[in-house]
Amino acid sequence: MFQATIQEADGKAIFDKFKIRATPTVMMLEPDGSELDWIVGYDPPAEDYQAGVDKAFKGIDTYKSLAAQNAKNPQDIAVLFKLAQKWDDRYDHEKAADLYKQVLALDPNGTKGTTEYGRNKEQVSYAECAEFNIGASAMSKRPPDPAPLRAFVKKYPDGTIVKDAYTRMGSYYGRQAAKEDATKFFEEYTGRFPQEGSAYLGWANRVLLDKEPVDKGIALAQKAVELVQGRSKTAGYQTLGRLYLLKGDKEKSVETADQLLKAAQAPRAKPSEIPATRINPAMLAAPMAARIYADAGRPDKALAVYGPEFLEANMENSGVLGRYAQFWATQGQNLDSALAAAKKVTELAPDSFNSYTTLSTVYQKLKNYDEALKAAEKALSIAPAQPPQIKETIQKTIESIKASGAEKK
Amino acid sequence: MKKAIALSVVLLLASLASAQVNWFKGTLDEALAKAKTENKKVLLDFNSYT
Repeated sequence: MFQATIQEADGKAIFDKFKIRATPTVMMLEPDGSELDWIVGYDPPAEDYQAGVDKAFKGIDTYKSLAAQNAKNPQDIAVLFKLAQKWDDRYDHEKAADLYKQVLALDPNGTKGTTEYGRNKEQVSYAECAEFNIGASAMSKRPPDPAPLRAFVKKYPDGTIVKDAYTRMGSYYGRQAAKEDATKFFEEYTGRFPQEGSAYLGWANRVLLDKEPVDKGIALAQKAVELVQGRSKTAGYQTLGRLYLLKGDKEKSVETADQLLKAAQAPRAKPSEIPATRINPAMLAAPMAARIYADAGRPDKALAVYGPEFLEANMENSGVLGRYAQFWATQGQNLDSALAAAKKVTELAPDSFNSYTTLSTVYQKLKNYDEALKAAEKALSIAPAQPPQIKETIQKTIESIKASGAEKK
Repeated sequence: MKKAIALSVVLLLASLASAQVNWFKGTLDEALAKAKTENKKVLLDFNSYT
């Protein structure tokens, strides 16, 4: 077993050689260095993942076996489709699109076979799936191109995948498209799927981004929280609370943050079944609500939900502690507790440069520039060489701390 | 939905090897040369610091 790490020079060269675009990726190689197969990403449970690795080593449905079948019979749609998926998995959307287009050329009407789609494993024609995948890939281009998915929803208005097409487009129209185009899109999306809470939430978030029309955004967010469940409900209340803040209605924003916390406390699993280090909804909800409380001028409520008591209950999760320290450093309040959190992060994750940049930030807020400098220098010493912007940013922070320290003296 | 959880994969690879992960020490070319002499395939793990 060989490991290549992108931040190391030798590892980066291997990433480049195999054109790896995501981690984790596991690739199986023949002894001559040719590619047998690959698995990109990780889907629990671990047993299923291990079964996938075993299957690849046995040569079942590998890239190599599919490429050999394709060479023998280029008209086999199932093989073409599976090969395209292999390249899609590897984020090589250009190669995948070429193969999907071959599927469409051989079966333009979608009558020559089906494949399983989604969690419910519904049967969908290779052609419909290929068109959707081409459209979904176009959304990950820079800039994203929604045209293929727009065409897809017109061609397959009642298809199995149409809702997923709208969801994919929702990310683009929610953040990047022109305001007028976004409004038209969300009107269409919510019109076609009036019970789809995420459509209303996406639109409400777009209003938040545009900072208008606020009353419309509030109505959309209210509709979203009625319809969505679980983590999305918490996100819905967060959006609603921020919209009330935008409107200047601090009282309503505080009420909404209260509801957010209540929604996050809805039981999902027995507390004893949740490991202490696992991020649970309450851990995420507390900073969301605290931000609203703080912006609404209620630091007392922010402290009550996300103060020292929260810290004491979550001392084993470095990510949660790091966000806590950063939050209070930004607020310029509760700094002793933020410092305790930041120090604990360096114990839990001593090899991460982020641990020390967080500690440095808190010390800067406390105007303890000697300690801030020590922490930043430690961060610089362990930060990866790649990408170079990381060390450059820390170096700039060091200069800034030195200047502040000199000014203080 | 794919989740990029590098640590989980490393743990999984550990279980695959039924022991601690003993990553090959040396270059990839050396790993492939060794695989050739032993008639084995190479598992190449691409990872990044989190």
